[in-house]
Amino acid sequence: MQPSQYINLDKARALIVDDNPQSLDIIVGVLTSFGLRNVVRKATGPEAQDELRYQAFDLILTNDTLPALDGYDLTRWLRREADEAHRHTPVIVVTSHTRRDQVEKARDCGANFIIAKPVSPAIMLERILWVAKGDRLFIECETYAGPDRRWRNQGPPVEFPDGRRRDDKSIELGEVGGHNMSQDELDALIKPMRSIA
Amino acid sequence: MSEVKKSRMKPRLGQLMTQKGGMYVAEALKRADATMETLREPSLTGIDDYIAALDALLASDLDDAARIEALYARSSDIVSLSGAERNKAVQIAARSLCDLLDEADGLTPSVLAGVKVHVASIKLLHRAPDNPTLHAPILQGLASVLEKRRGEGKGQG
Repeated sequence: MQPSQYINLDKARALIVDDNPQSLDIIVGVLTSFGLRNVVRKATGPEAQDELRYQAFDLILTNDTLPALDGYDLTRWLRREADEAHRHTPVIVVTSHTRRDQVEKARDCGANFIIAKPVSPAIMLERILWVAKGDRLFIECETYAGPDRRWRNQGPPVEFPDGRRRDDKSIELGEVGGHNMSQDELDALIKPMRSIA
Repeated sequence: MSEVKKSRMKPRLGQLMTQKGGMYVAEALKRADATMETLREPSLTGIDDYIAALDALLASDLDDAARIEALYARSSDIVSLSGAERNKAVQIAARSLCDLLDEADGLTPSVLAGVKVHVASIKLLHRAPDNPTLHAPILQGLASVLEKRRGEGKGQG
């Protein structure tokens, strides 16, 4: 991500789902600072579903833990059962729970990325740029619908030098369970090998 | 074998972002930092409330499973707002508490003691200026509590 890069989020529409009002304020505040004007806030999975039935979004950020329907199930529903035109909408899971099994759950429900709380504006903007620029395959099969999970072998676009670098060491993941991972540890799960641009 | 359908993701977001207008990344981040600054005090007050909620849960007579779940939720809330702190130690301590609770089978005296140490440490670190030298022994202590608890867990398992 280059400071001199130009971004325009004026016309983008985002749906933010979090049951913690203060956390919601932080995410919406950060996105608004980036120039995103059309932001819809929802506190539960079913409320988000209703909104998604009613209108299309360019970006969805959801907490993992939500009342009634969690962020993973919401994403799974979006990928499988929402209006066909909305199924490819980029989804970023924003969560405090970053244990290995939870990261895998986010990956397997069809989310594009997982961001660790507390939210860092730089990380947030970089991930938005990644999903906007990214040209990942969308996979639909009996057991999965979502962005290609083998994307790890491609890594984030090399145009973003602050992400993982070619000389970064590969990461041996710990035992299932493990501790809550930091954003750096989450990023380290992605090993760049070539540009996806 | 089931059929696998592949298509190329072409997010509309990408097209929108390259349209004329907008701002530089540097400006966007500067504005976001200013927004975070305005949200600092409300977030710190939110952490005050979550710490009070942790204390109330420690004193409550809910059953173990409900208490563990609620304690976990509140420590997770603290993690969410911990970006407002001047130090990273609150986040580390709250994550450590999440780990302790996540791995606990019940609120045994040993787990309960561990939770109390974590809550006391979070109180100590909350609103404190950044001082890694001063905070390191506290965090090391919490890491030891977690390790000890994991050792006990393995011993029982």
